[in-house]
Amino acid sequence: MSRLTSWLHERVPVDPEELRKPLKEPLPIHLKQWVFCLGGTPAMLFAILACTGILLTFYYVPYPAQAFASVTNITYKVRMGWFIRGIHKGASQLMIITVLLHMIRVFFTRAYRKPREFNWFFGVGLFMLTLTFAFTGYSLVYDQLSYWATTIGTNMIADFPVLGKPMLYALRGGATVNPNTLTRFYDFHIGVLPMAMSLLIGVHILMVRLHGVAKLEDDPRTETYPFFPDHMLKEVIIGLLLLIGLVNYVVFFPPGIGALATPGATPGHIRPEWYFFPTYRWLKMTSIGIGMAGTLCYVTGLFFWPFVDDVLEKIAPKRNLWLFVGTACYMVTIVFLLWEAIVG
Amino acid sequence: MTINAQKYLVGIMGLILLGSVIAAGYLDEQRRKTENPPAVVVVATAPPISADLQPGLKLYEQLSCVACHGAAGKGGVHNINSQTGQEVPSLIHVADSYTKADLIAKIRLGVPVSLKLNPDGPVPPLHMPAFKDLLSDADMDSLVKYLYSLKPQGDNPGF
Amino acid sequence: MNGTSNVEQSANQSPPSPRSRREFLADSFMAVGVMLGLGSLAFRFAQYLYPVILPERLVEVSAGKVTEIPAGGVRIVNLPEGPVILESVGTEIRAFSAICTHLGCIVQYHDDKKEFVCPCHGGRYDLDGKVTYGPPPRSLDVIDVKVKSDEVFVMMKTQKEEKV
Repeated sequence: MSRLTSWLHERVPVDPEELRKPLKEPLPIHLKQWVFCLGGTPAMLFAILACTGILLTFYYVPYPAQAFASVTNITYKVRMGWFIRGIHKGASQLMIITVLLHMIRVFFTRAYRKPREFNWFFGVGLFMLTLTFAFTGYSLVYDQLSYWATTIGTNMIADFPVLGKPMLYALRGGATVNPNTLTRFYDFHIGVLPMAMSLLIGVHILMVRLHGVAKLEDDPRTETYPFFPDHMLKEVIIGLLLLIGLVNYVVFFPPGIGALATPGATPGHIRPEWYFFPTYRWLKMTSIGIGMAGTLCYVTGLFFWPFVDDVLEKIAPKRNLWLFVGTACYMVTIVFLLWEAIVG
Repeated sequence: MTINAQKYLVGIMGLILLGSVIAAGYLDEQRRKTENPPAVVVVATAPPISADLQPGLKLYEQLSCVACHGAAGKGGVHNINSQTGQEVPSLIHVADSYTKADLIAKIRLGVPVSLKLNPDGPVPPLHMPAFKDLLSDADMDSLVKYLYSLKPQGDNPGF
Repeated sequence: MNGTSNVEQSANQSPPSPRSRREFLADSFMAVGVMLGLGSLAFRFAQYLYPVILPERLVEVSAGKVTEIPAGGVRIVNLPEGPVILESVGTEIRAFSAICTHLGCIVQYHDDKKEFVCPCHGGRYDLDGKVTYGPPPRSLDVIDVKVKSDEVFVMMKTQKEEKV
């Protein structure tokens, strides 16, 4: 064995001890709680989405006349087609949910504070990327709901001041929705976004490794436990749980498809996917100017939250203003979501 | 839970996954044979059509003819720089302009490249695909019957 | 790897201690379970990729009128089911597939030399479909012909599903 290893080592000059170091990383004991494994979950779901997504490209045709037919083909004719498509759809919903849960966990444990502010920025970026992924993917089905949700969604961009119209035309590949539009959304979904997402995930994980896992405030415990095999097994269990959950979900709730998109006729009741409900509800309530301004404030506040937290701390030290402001914002978001979901 | 216990848990979960995937595979045969794509209703306000035209309408929608030629063959989809008025042609007059054999040939062979209105302009993005032998003769008959029925009746000249 | 250091254990030779044997069993069970689970998923993914190959059957297809074939000559017809060579030999009509048996290009008829030439690698066939030159490994496939009244019908292979 050692002859083989030295033969290999001559040709790939890495020190195996160096490679094993990340495996031995000591993790603070609070990480044993399952709620702290919510970070790895979206990454695993992304891997599942990438695999099933690539499989879908073998049968999907990104041209209006054939897109709907190809999705129908996958769902009803291709062997295990419904299975692959169903897992892809289920995993995309789960990914949004787990990213949200992870973000909420990081927020309430204040893991974004100095020196980890940058990683919060990358995280919010990942969240936005996930939503964009979902939006572009949804538009590819080309049934009535998909087509009109995309039309409305992109039209909102035009209302953005100054840059709105040019951005809309660039996104659509033309003044109106045309065959170019579908191709662009497809290229974003399978090319541009996966590259950006892979890069950001890498950077996000790297930052955590560089800083080490953030210690919990007010936690006096100093014990640690090794990443391998203890924490790794936890992640493997979660990964398998996701797969089992998705496979069984698809078995009981296989995907279907709606009516083909007709550019000439909007269906009676149209609205975006649930993850856009809060924004949708807000925009319906106010004029377009206030609507846009409000959304922008919210997103900017979310992005720069570590600095907002610092400001709040200066205003009222040790009074936990961050907790009140943060919880209030989350409450409003949830209320809007439920309002739109139930009342519509 | 001890490390070893966790390892056994992982192994068991792997086997549960195996079982679930086997179940899904078994269902695949059933699902593909018995389920058909749902009957598509294109426009809610379209007048009801008679039963003998239903198969043709179903084909017209399933094969995405409607995506380019519009509901009830009304056309209106842009096709830049194409000689057919820069739009995908409507089909409401095919009963008068194509014999059955010619219409079938057109559908089977398609139009590989749409003719350009302005020779210096771009190639029109849409062209009639060749359906070759995707349709059986019986299906083709149903489709042609439906297409011929698109001719406007009486006081509705369709202009 | 899990740090069970037993001072008496040397590299490969001593019998496994009870603790490391338990670990080995746990490791193997885990490995087998995970590989079976993920393997079955991978198998389904591969199944998805493999295309549905429909059984071939013969259908009778019209290849035009007898009069469209030049007397004592050749007509090549492009049917949706494939390209067909129609030959009028005396009173008989013969049909061959126009697909070159080498690598699948479609042959062209050269009337001056009364032969079929494949433009891809220069293979040549005579009017009986036999190879006269070049890489094709066998003669052109014969296609059954039926002449009904004045119309020519050929039996073509198709993978179209039989509509019930």
